[in-house]
Amino acid sequence: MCLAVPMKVTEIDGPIAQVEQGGVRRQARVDLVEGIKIGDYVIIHAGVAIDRLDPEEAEETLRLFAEMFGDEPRRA
Amino acid sequence: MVRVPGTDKSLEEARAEGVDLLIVYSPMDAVEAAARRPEEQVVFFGIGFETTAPAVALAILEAQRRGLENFSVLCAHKLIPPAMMALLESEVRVDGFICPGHVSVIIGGEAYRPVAERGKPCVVTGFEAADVLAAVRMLLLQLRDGRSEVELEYTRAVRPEGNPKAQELLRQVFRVSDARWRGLGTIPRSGYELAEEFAAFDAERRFEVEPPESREPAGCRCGDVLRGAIEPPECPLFGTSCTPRKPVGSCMVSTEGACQAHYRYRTGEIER
Ligand code: SF4
Repeated sequence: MCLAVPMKVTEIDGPIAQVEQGGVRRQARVDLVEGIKIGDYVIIHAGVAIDRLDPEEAEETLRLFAEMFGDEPRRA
Repeated sequence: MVRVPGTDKSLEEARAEGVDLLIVYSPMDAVEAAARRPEEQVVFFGIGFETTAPAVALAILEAQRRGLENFSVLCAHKLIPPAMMALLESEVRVDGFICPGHVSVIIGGEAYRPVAERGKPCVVTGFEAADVLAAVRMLLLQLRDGRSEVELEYTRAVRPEGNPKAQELLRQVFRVSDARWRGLGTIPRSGYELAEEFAAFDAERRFEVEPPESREPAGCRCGDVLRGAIEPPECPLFGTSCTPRKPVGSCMVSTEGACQAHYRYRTGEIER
């Protein structure tokens, strides 16, 4: 059920955007995300972007994982 | 969804008997289907939690904008925080909560404050294995320090206030109502029904159907599993008459169900 996945916005046309991840392209509603722009990563659930992923927080999380689990930091 | 056993049969079985069942990726696809088949009534089965409800709300607004008279929603959306509060009222011992990441994208971490104020630590968690481990660590630290707070582990997606635009949309299209949960019974103010303004899109009001009282399959202990009162193998049907290939109860249907997860990962057997 929880098939929400992060995808990258490649085109925006009003409330609708083209999003892409790993070669999969889809159309999604993006009007629930304030100030959406091309290049943003959004979480898509049932054809709707429910919010944007924060790249700085993602980096921070990877750093924390490395600290906690003694792993080398890796790129997202 | 299509494989979940119903009172008499699953949607999959109904389809095998000739019911016209369309599986869509997005509720918006159901609106498109209604636009394509003006002579037929399209009913979208609106299930899921706060993550899914905004998509259904958008679909209803779209159907309204297009003036579609053959699109409606059977609204069975459920809300997470009231269910957590209900769980606290039951006899089940819970030490803390791993809170659902994508529900929290919508409702925000603050939505769990009443739970934390009842003395149960809450950590909003992401979906990588490391996220879950990190969240368990955060919960343990709270328990060790005698704290009971809402903490965010899934900070790359979740903010304390959630997504205000999505919340506004939910308030516009839905009203909070009492809701029946499989295996748990009725929980006050734990679901959505369509707001009066959208009554025309409410399948329950459009079609006069009196569904029979629903019941769980004989012997199925999903309710106890859901509340954490028993472990899946304590159900007498587990792994015998109830398997992922032929689920008896809803907890065995998908990998997210406690019974199927237990079956796959605890017994070491992988269903192919
Ligand atoms: S094993 Fe099957 S029948 Fe038993 S509780 Fe789980 S889903 Fe229900």
